[in-house]
Amino acid sequence: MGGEVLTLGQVRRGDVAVAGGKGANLGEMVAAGFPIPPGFVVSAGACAAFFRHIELAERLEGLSELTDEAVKRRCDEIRRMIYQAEPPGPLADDIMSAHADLTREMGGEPVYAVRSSATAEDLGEASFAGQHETYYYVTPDKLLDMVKRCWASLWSPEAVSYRRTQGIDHAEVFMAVVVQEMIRSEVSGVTFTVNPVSGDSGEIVTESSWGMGAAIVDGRVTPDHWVVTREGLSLKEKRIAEKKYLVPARLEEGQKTRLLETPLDLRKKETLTLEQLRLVSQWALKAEEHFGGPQDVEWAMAQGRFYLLQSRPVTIMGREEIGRGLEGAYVIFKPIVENFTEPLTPLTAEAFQVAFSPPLMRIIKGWLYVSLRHIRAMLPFKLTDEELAQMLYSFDNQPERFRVSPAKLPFFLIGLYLFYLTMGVFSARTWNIPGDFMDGFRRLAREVDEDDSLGPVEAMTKLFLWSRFFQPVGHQVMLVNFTSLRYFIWMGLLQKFLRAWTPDIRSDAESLLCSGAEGVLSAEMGRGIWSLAKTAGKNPRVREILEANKPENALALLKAVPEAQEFVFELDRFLEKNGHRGLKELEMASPRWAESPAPVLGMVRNYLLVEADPEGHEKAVNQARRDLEAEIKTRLEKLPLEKPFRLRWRVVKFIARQSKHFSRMRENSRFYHTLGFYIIRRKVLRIEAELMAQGRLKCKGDVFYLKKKELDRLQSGELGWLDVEDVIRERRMEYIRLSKMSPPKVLGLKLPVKKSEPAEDEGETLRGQSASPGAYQGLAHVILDPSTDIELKPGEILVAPYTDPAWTPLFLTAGAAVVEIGSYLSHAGTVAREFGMPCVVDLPDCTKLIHTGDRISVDGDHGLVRFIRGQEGEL
Amino acid sequence: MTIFLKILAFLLGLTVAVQLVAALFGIVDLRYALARAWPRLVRGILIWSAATVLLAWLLGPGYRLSFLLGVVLYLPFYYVCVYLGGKLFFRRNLNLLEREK
Repeated sequence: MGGEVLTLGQVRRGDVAVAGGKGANLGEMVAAGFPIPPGFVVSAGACAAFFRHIELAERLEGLSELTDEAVKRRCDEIRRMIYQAEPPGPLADDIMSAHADLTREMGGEPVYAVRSSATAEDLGEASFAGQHETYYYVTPDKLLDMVKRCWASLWSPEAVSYRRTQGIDHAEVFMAVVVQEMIRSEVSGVTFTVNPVSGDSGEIVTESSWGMGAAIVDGRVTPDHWVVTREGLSLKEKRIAEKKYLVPARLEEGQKTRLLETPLDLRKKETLTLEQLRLVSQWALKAEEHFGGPQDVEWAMAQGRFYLLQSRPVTIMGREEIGRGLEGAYVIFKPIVENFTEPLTPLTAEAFQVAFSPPLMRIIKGWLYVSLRHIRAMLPFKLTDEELAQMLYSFDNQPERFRVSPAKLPFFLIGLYLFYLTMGVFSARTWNIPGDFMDGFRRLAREVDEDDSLGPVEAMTKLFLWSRFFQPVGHQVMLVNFTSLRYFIWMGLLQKFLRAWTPDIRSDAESLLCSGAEGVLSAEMGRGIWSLAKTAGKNPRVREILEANKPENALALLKAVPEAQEFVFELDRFLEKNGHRGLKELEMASPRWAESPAPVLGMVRNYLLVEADPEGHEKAVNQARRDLEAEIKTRLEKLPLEKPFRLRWRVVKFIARQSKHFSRMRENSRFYHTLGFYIIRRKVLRIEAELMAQGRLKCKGDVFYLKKKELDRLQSGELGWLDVEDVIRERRMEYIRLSKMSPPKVLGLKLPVKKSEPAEDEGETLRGQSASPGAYQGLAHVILDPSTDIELKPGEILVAPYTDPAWTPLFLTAGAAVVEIGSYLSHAGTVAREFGMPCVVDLPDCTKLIHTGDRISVDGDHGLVRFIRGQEGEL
Repeated sequence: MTIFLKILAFLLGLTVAVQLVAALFGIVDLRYALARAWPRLVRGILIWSAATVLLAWLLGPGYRLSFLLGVVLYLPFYYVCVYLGGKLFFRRNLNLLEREK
């Protein structure tokens, strides 16, 4: 083999300057006996020789002094020059001869994975600047082109800008390239020898999925998640995900995208046996031992053989890294974050950024934070950062006494009056307005959807901003949502009066009095699903299909059966009205029911399996409300002068009516603004389809990891796939890392640890926040995704990471609910109060601390969850 | 003192105009349901128009002009502050995004 092209076996750990970090690492592993796919390294010297051959140095003069735009133009020029030039004859011969040797060694015609391998340690960070190209499925005729593309990745504007800020000489930077046989894996994955989120060294974490590993590494599938103990490699945790996509081992003729839909029978199937999991863990531990530190190991399995593809030190991204270097103090904006267990994707985050006002509100790593400095300036109180953060995070954490600042009070009053002058008209327009006043928004949404001249930003303007002066208030759903916050004022008043006049009334009296509002669209949606379940229950064939098949398979089967047409027709009508809903519906990247109705069928199936009776439940709640009203009336009559005038009762009724009105307005405006988000999503998906057809994007869903500016440049042709591929990959990786942690409540300050009341069994008690009063004891059932895990038995306690309308049917059968995030105002709290069940929210990691089958008691009055040991599984 | 009271009358005019403008917007907001909602609409407009006239009459000639100025000037204030202000706010946020690297 020529001097500039080396087999992996010829390279060792110390050869970074020749083979790059990746190449040196792989060479070391080959020498240590790890099962590495065969391959060779095109050295950094070869890159230097090629750059000399094309006289690159001339083009680098003055590069560091150029403006950003000029750098971009120069980089385009250099990359074009690299693509077009032929490598010097001997170098090309060496590479092709290495290929010939490999072909002989392996037999048959191999397909390669070609990867860039940076040579300098100080370029490590530059991987974020687009310097780590990897090309799969490379056939021998494309080999030289792909090696050149790896070299060209040194000349992306981001990489040049990075070197400029780091003071690295452009003329001294070269890139080695690793060429390896591409393993056509049936299963692939990543194993960490330490928990990458918690840092727990006693745990080995593996993520695995079908097909090639790119789908996991690039974050395009949710993989199966396994945790085994370091000691004894015994299984500690297993989460089998629905693996909707895979990157196949072979590309079919004419196949444009790498990502394919996983066959239905494989989606929820376990990708590893316990034996395989142990094998993978053992190899990862060997890598750790060899390199002397925790490793992040990429591996693949093909035809019963295990291959180690890469090993590198684990990067543990702690929560403390979020917001590092940020000026000022911030607290997470709970009313929004309670809808997410995951951060927003970059495109959705930008949409939020446009609607909300920076610097008052900022998206930091995908989560929405509020600036304490700006909020403090608006309030007339003397509050420390800690007090203000506690108060904003949870309304339960009010300071004992508010100290008014005399200097700020006049400004506050002027501000309040100006606020009345600007928002008062909206408040008055929505006062006592008929409940259906927002229904016209549906027509507006359809018009915007059908107007092809409107892009996502224009659609957002039309749907969420006040686009015409004489626009009906029902078309301004965001503002309606804002004005409906009056609900809390009325609820607060109701609580004050009720507790003053009837001190020992039941703890959920306020929420029960305000329940049963007519025209709440999310409640009607719930009834719609129940109606579908009734139709399905009456038809034995439909019932059989739904019960015997997974929801994803059921629709196709139902459509093929003539007896099921009534059900299918009703389902279509339901989706016409509610198809814009789905899981995590404020996230534009989330698919909606109209696109994939499996979650709806899952809920129908859930109703059929548990034989719940929502109508009976509704009747019981109505009866309880009537009984409560009678009780309040009787108690009030004992108070002076109540009997002749019934004044107190009239006050209570009036306030409860107003609370219901604003509560319905809040729910319905949310129903419609999710419709608005859906329309924007459709616009983005159309752009994605166009870009995929043009080859500028390769995988579905990637578009949400771009920013608006990049999307505009892709559309105009200024950027192509190669310009955005790395950016997307890096953002997906960061997204995955962030998704695995819960967001810090505050940034830029430390909050004191929650005060805890002494309790005999404190060690067995979890403390959250009360969202719905009452007490209940039963068996826990942890559900992470209602579309895949829906079989909650009647009376079980629902333990969930978050909830949204898709979870509502589970509340019908649950005895109580415990949720990781949320507040009194969150979906879980609202629905639990409506259904009269205790609910505790804001209990971080409860889905990990509580296991299915644990017997627990939920104290909704105090926000406590207690484990009742020794009775697990007994009922 | 008179100036102070005139300012108060002007602010009262602005305050009443908020409700009057909202009542007039009812024509736009309730157009979809005029057949059933017209009594509510007419009632709102009549009540707030009558309240405006009554207050103007009660305030007497000394403060009437200030009060009516408040009522009349509210509409342009509202248009500029809320409608155009909202558009500017959105444009500013978009520009901030454009400037972000």
